Amino acid sequence: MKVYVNDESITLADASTISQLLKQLNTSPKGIAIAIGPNIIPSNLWNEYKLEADDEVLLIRATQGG
Amino acid sequence: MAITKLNHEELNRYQRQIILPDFGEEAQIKLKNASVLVIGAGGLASPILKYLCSTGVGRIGLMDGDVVEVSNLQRQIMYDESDAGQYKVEVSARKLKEQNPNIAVDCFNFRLTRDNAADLFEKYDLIIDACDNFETRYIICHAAQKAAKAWIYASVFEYGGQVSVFNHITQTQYSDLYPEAPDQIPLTDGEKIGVLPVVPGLIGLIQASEAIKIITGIGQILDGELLLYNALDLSCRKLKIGKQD
Repeated sequence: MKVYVNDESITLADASTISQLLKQLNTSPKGIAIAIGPNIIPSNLWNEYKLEADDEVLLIRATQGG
Repeated sequence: MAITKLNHEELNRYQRQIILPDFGEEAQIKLKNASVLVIGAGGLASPILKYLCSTGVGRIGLMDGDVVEVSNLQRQIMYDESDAGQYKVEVSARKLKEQNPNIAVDCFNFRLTRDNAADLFEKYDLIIDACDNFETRYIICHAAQKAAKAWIYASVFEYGGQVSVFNHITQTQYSDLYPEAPDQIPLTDGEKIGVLPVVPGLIGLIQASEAIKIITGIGQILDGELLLYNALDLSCRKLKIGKQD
C-alpha cells in the first residue's frame, strides 16, 4: 500500500505499523513525533498502530532553537 | 497582596486593550497581579519580554546566563550593538523598566538546573520556555509538573517553529510529544543552527499571546495541541497531541 510521509509517497506492506514505517525509513524513534492526519499518535502505540492506505503521515522533529 | 484597582496612569497607558470586548479593567488587573518566568533571553524571548512588559504583566522573571554577542543581533531584537558583552538579562531588565516602569523585573544571570528549578518555579504563576536546548526543556517539563505550573513551549529551526502549552487544563506534557531527545544532536550550540530572524519573532509573539490569554482567561488556549508554523509556504497546522499512557 501507499502512504504519504511529509507529502512524499512511500510504498510499504499492508497493515504496517508506525514502528515498521520508521524502520523502513531508517529513522530513529527518538526525538520525533508522528501525526496521522490531525492526530499525533503517542509513541507507546507505535508498535501496534496500523497504517491504512493513503494515510497522510507527518514526521515532526523535535527542535531546540530559541 | 493582590491589587484590585488601576491608577490613572495605568488606565491611560492600557486604554486600547481595556476597551477590548471581554477584556476590561478586570483583565488588566489580572495581568498586573500576574508573574511570569521567561527561561532564555534570546530570539524567542525578545518579543515575549517586550510585549508582556508593554501589556502590563506585573512581574517578569528573566533567566539566561549568556552575554550579548554581535551574532545574536539578527534575531534577538531586544539588543543593540552597544550591549555586546553585557549579560542579556541585565540589558533586558534595563530596557523593560524604561519601556514600562509599572512592572517589576527579576534577573537571574545563570542557567536553569535540576537543583534551582523548584525554588524558582514556586515564585511564578506561569513559565515560558524560550530556551535553546533539550536539556533545559526536559528540566522545565519535570519541574513544571512538580510545581503544578503551566508552561508555554516553543522552539525554532531554520524556517519554522512549533508551539504548545503544557501541564495546563488537559495536563498534556512535553514528554507526551517527545519522550526522549534525539539520539544525534548535530549541533548543540544554538548559535550555529540556521534560523530566519523573523521566525523566533513570530513564534515568540504566539507565546506572548498565549500567556496573556492564560492570565486573563480570554479565548481558547493551545492546550493539548501542537502548532507548526513554516515560513516558506506560510503554512500553519494545529495537531492534537495524544497522551502517553
